[in-house]
Amino acid sequence: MSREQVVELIPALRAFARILCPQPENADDLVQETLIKAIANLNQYTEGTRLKSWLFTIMRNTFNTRYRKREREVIGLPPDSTNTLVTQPDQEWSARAKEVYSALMRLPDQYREILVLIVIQGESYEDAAVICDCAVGTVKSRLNRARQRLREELGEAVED
Amino acid sequence: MSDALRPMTENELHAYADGQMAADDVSRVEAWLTAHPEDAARIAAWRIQNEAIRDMFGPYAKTLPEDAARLKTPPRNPLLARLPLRAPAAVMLFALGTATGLALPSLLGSPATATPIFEQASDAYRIYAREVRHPVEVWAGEKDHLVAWLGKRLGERVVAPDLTASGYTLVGGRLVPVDGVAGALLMYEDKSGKRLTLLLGRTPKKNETAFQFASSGAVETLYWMDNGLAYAVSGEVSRQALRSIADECYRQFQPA
Repeated sequence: MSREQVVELIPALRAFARILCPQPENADDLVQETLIKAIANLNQYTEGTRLKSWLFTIMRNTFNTRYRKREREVIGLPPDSTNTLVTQPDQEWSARAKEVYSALMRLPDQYREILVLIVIQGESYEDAAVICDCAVGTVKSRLNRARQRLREELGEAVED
Repeated sequence: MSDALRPMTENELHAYADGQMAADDVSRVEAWLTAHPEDAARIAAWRIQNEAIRDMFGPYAKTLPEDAARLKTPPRNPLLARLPLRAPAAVMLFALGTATGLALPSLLGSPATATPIFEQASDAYRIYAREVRHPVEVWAGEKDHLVAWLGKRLGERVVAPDLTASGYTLVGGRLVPVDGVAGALLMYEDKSGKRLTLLLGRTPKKNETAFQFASSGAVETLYWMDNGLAYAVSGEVSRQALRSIADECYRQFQPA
């Protein structure tokens, strides 16, 4: 693995970090910490496996051990607090995008994470299972429920 | 029933929507969808969802000019500063760190790499404050010896602040690892037995920071850095109480 390959994946890490940490500063810290850990643990990377999935795994573990509490703390603040602003949708988004964002943020973490890994990052179900430390069957059922919940949250008719 | 007519499972439909289906199976799904417009409509709805999600988060996946520099965290140790921090060099630093007993994060000196001081502090509180018989290594009865010993190990002057005005008396202290090197943990308790800990560790930079709070479960920590040392007061008390205790510590740590 070369440094250049890792640098090329920084944009993907940045997008994943934003899902895990809606606060931009935390997302940026998470990217940095993931990069440092990846470099420090290069010897644990298996050549031939997907570097992106490996980096996502490091990011997710880092998030779970370090950032989850921080994010919760801010999200849990009273609505009049300025900190809640950071979880609001991007001003430039369309009305529809804002609705989807709000609906996505109301999903349980595991559902949102699976949707993002598969839909945005194009991870295979198998790689998503490794990243999320769960069975492939769990990935599939979470994805299924995530989509159903998202449609419900968006007020779309769901017959299944 | 022939395979072509076997009902599609939910998982197969999702895999199709995500483009994760084996090529051989795709035509089978497509045949099914032609005959089952309700499933075709669901897949269309998922794909619209997919697009909406991609449109939202896609823009975050941008390349920034400083990306290449992000892997180069400047080392603070002057000896190591001369080494180029390429990936193999980082591995070497790691090996060197292991050999010398220093953690890589300390060598790299980035606050993002090490377990942050507030986490080390809340962990230490959780481990030691609940100890009944052995909360400390050296008891307050030997306070002079305690501060001299810890000061020697840290290489910095250590003071055990007097917190009696806040209702806390010194229980004692112990040597603990902080960022991979010797640090000190002082413990206090009030009349009801409620305890506080004060963690002191060396920092690579002699900078000064503001007081910052961090919560970990019921444990609140207030931490700051000043003149080569990091300080963190932890306890299951209100932030207001912690703040006044930290003010008291800060005042007493200032050189006379």
